[in-house]
Amino acid sequence: MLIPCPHCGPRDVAEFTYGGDATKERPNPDSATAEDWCDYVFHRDNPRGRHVEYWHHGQGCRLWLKVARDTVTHKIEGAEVVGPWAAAAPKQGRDVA
Amino acid sequence: MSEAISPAVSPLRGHSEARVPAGDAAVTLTERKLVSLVQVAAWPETAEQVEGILASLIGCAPPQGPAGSSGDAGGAILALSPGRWLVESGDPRLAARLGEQIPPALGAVADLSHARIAIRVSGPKAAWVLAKGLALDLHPQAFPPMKVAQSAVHEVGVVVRRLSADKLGGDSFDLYVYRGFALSFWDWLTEAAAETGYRVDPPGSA
Ligand SMILES: [Zn+2]
Repeated sequence: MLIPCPHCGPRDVAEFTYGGDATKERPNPDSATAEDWCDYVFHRDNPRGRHVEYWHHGQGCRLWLKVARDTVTHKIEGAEVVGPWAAAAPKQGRDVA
Repeated sequence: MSEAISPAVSPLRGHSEARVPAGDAAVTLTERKLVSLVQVAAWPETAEQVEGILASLIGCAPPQGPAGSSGDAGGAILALSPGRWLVESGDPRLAARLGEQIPPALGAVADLSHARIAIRVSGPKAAWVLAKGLALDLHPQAFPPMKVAQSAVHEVGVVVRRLSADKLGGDSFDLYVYRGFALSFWDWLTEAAAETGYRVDPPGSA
């Protein structure tokens, strides 16, 4: 599987570390209930098809990416840089099927 | 008991000495002498400013575009990722100079001079040999001269830079490899180059 890193271009999946489900939003600590935290920490949808995940390009640019991947075909729709360098990233990663 | 090796002595000592094969040599391997190699990382707000400091200190233009590089072995800037550069220079005081000009408010300066070894791979089959372990598109259109990639060969981190062909009269790559992996990387490289035949030039001659 190749992940289209917006900074490095298509790279082998072995250069990346999986960072988990990127659809979960961290609850606001001021207002979150125990159920909100339980959902954020433990509950995952495990969809068949399109999924959005975090991947860390540890053996490349070391940026964190948000990758949209089909869990059935492994086709990657795109990848974008997240975190403090998101604005500096050149462009959306290319689809490499 | 294992022998302690001083940082001044290459871990490739006894391995990277000059060697001329009896047959063909489509690749030349040379261990380069690293004087100063420094990683500089800026904050998103200070990246432009830090890049300007590097360029004026090294005396060359900033690297062109992402994953580009500028300069030569006398002083070079390699753009590894947004706001992160590898700077090489023949000036032994490079890390100190960078530290003076780049305080923590602007970025972080890490001296890697003794943490990496540098190998030059050149010749008509250089890309062919590297492609055996480097999962990168090394076609000159995808990876033109001066382009840089931080990647891995069999999980061993390696920074690759293609050099300007017209200056050296052929295809050449500079590799920067973790010092602790120098020997196993050299083993991999010489095994990968066995097919095409290779020559080893004296350490420090490239
Ligand atoms: Zn990357």
